[in-house]
Amino acid sequence: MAIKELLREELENSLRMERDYVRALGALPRGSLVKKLVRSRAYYYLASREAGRVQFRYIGKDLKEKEISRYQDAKRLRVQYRGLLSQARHQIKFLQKALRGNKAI
Amino acid sequence: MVLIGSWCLVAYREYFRSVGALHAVRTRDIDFLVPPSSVFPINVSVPELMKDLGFLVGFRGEQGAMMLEHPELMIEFLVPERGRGGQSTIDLPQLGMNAQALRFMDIALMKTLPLNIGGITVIVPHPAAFALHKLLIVPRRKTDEKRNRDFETAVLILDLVEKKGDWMMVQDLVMKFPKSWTKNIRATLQENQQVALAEKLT
Repeated sequence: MAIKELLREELENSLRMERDYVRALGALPRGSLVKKLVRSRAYYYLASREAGRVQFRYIGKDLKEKEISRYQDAKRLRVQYRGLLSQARHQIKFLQKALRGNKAI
Repeated sequence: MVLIGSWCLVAYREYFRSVGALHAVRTRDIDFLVPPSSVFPINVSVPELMKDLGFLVGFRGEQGAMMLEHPELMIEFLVPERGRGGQSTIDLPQLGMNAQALRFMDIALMKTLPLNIGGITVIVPHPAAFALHKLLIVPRRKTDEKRNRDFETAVLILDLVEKKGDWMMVQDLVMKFPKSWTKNIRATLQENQQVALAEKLT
């Protein structure tokens, strides 16, 4: 019974993490930064998927380093958070299965 | 900073290996006790540092005790509660975090040991301090399962402490406690049929 209580706590923790990672993903700036060179000048676009199609939105030329880093960081975090969200969901599935079992733990 | 909570059992398992077995059921919660008036050589934002590893900042309870969350680990900072209490979180501006204030946490600071977990040396409470703290908080636990688990762990650890020849540490610590603490610990032991152990704590 003590183990089952531990598993319930862990399930609550994983459910909370799932919500937090979903929220964190939603808070990241949408889209990936794409740089196009035209006659040696850099033009930046934001590529994002909308209604199943990839859309490119022009955001400017000669973006500041800080702005470029912001989008690069967001891309990195998005990949990372998606992986961790998947991990949390696997944990939820495992814990729910363990708690549904008929045998006493 | 002192590592406290169920992760200590992982370190104690190795510490007691020569005298007996210790189960080390632990959760993903890893708690660090920050001694009062700690001053760190530099200011850091722990949440910012941990963000790179995928940790998110979560908040618990009404006063919003911060927690760093990751599917593999959840990190929380604690401090000893001072005075009559009432303030359940204390700011740690040097770490960019706050810490939950809990009663009786001073026990964990009374005697500490450097032990190894996975190749990393961490400072943990001496097992005697860990066990006595558990016995003090048993009556305050909200569920029977937690009460029973804490009690059984405390009794097992005290037994191992005695087998390792460290019983003097238990007595030294108890002598430093306020009388009310000793009285409460003995009452908890007696109520749970550990009368002989209660009488040893003099």
